[in-house]
Amino acid sequence: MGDGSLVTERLILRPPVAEDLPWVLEHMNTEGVMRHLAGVRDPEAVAESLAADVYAFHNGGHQRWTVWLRDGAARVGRVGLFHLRSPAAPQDLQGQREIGWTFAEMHWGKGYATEAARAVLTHAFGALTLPVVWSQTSDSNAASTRMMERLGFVRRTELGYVDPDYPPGDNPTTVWSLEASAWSARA
Amino acid sequence: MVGAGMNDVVLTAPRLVLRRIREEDLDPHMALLNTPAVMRHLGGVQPRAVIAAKHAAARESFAAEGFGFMIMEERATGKVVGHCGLRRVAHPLAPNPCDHEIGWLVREDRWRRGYAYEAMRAVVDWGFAVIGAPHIVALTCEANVGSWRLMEKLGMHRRADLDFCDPAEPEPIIQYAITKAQWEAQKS
Repeated sequence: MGDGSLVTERLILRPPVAEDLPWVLEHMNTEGVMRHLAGVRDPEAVAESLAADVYAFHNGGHQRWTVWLRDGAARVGRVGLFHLRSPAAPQDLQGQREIGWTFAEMHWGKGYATEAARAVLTHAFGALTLPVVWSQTSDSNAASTRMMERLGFVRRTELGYVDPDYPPGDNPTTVWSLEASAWSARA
Repeated sequence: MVGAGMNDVVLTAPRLVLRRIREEDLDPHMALLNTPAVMRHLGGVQPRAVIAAKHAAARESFAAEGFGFMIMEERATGKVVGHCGLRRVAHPLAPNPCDHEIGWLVREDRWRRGYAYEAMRAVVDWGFAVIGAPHIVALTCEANVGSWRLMEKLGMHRRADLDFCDPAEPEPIIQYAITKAQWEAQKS
């Protein structure tokens, strides 16, 4: 699709828009979704973050898609291809491309996150020709950790670090990488 | 007053009204403010979706905190002449996301009239006296000379310790700041 959308069997990943805001506030900024992501944020910070996502998408910055069900009007989650910028992360990781995702609780357990992440990785290694994509989580986030393993990410133990922006229970941050060659070998 | 309904006026200045953003402001914003000259140092002309998202963020900011970005209207004509206000630092890479940030843009055919200075004096007064900001910052770049000259005219000081780089921007983003005490001292 020419508008920046990505399509999978069950999902459409669309560029973010201002109209996503009420849904983001209600379904993305919840205790459950934000549990391992430093918690619920101020609504105003969420709104500025969405505006920054929209700006970046159209200005060569990071891309954070809003994931919709293909056969309905419902949004189910978000997947982003960011520039890694956690201040506490090792210098070698700064600015590297990082994938991340959040899905509304009512849509957990259906494989949507994996399906959407695969579409973004195909785009990252295909259209964007990235040599490697990184991802970060913590052992406390078992679902995210399992998903990285399922997607073929390799744990980079030597790059793990303590991030003071997260509580002790969500530390240390674990760092994962997926090489383009490994992705194409699996695909 | 020609344009502004009384209930959404936030601040007034001798020649200007600063009011909350309405749904119907998106078209004039696109036509009058989202132009190559105005947006030259602000990332260039933006798609409609970007401006709509900024308006939504401003509404949410007012709802959550009682301040945000506004539409600048010219009292004499009731026309939209700019966009400005106070918000938490919006740039996702800034090292000081909780600080209060002022920002402004004025349509090209209203430049060199002192509108931005007039508006921002009202905004800074409001930020310190009503909103209770301990200090206020402003973000710009070296190339945007008109922007940082106005920051200096407002009494703001360079804060090189807050400068940062955005990989998507051609040059570093620099910051200015003023404390409540500094603002009050220069007013008297």
